[in-house]
Amino acid sequence: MAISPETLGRRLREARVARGITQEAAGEAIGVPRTSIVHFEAGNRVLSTLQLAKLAEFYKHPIADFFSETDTAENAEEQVLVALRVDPQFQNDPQLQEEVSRCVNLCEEAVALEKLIGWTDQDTPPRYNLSEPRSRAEAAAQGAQIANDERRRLGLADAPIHVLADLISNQGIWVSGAELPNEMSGLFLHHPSIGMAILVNRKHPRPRKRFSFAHEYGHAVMDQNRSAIVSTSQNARDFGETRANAFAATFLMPDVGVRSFLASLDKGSTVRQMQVIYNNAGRQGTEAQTRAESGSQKLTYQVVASLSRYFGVSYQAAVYRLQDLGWINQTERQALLEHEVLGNDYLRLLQITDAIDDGQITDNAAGPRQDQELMERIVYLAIEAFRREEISSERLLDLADKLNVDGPMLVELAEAARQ
Amino acid sequence: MAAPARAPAVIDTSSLINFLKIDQAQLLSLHPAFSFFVTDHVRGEVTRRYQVQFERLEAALRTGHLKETTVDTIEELQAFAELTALKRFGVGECAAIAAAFHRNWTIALDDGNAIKLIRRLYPEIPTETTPSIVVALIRANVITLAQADSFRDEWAANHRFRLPFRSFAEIL
Repeated sequence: MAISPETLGRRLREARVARGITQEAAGEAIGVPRTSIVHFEAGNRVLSTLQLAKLAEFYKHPIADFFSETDTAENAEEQVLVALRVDPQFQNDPQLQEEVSRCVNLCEEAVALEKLIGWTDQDTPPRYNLSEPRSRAEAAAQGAQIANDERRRLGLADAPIHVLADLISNQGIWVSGAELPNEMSGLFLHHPSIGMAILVNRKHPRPRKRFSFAHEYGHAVMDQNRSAIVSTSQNARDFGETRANAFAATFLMPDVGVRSFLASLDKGSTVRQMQVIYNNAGRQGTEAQTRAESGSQKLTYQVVASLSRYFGVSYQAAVYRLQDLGWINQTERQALLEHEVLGNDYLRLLQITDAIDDGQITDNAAGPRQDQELMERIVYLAIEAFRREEISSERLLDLADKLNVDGPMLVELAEAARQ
Repeated sequence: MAAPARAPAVIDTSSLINFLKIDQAQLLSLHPAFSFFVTDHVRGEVTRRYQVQFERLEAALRTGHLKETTVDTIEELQAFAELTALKRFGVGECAAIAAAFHRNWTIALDDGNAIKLIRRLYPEIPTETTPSIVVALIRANVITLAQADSFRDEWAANHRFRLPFRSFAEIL
């Protein structure tokens, strides 16, 4: 049964007010005078499909929700935004809200495409039920333990993870770069209608983004009961964030992996090493002591730079991990951190610039787009849905508009996939 | 004797654009059975996606070869909203389908997937396509078979619209 014009009008007003938009601005956005908006909202006049679609887009509100039978329509975008508003920085940043809305909307599109092609039993990461940590040490221990469990579950052994975003995406989590404030490294979102999503700051250098992906993945396996978590420099010392940081460090740089890597550089053995050789004839052991050359086991900036490059993390992350694993003490950590510039210069010399995190913000203009992973996933799903005759080519064009990709090319590729 | 009144039909972007691309939108006004309407939504899509064809559409609307319609009853809006929630059609298509459904109009469109979906979801909506429109124009002596085949060739050669026959004679 159709709703009344008055109900539609009321919902239009509520959606507008929820976004803090004036009637004047709404009218301007869809090319009508303010008085038309007044009439629409009062239910005196019914708007057209074109006007409704434009208003829905402007209010970031699904068209269908204006006509739902109840007033409590499930709107992932709004609910996620509400959850994020507890963060004061988020509350005061309309651009950030816009960006999160855009990403959530893309996730909803992806979920809809998955449903159309019958992908309903996607893998999801396990949920580890952990007690609330009572100290930072306990939080760190929990994070490290779960990271090791996850590495085992995923069959990663002790090797570096090369394509981290793909690995997370294959666990049924949407991943995307996003335009976030500099001090914000990432966001974890969880809502029944989109599942889990991870957004990381697209402007951060690659090693830092990898750490953020791992950190947010830690939230995905340890904090699934939360609907939104913001990771910023301000909340980095919270127990939950400490736990996710410990997860990320262990997930990216497993203990045994670090040891093997150091050994491959002839580092990491103790200065004096006692060997006991079993003598089968005499049925006893013979002791032999070897002594490494003085200073040979010292971990220098170039070891740290090589380690950071090998595991795809920042120089700083590698230093802290070395201390965490007991390879260096606090004084050595400080000295190595002071040599970060040398470590980065060393990587520059080797022309491995994408491994450098020198604190500089990049615009990645020449690199892949910010939402590359999400865009690839949606394009794949859209072509598959078209091939299976579940969506029309005009729907493909609408999706192309949202993804900012070449629409006619997408249609052509989808048609080719059907042949 | 007055000519029999023609039935209204809403034409979607996928069919409309074929006639606009070969600059033959006026033929639509000569269809023996249908009077074609363009929704404001489809007009918006053509504006956004097809710059050259947009000017031709504006001319066709000015000269009355095509008429514009607005989809704006509460029932149509409800149907439109439900169609968008399916996430199977383009937004412009949703507006055209909602109009066809509530007004008992025919819908003209050439998107194979969309036609199959409409037949599955709304079997009561009659559909027309570019080939069926051209065939009706040939039968009504508005155009010749040779003209129709030249359109077919131009669509295939320049506009990536390929019909699965060599001549309209095969489907007359």
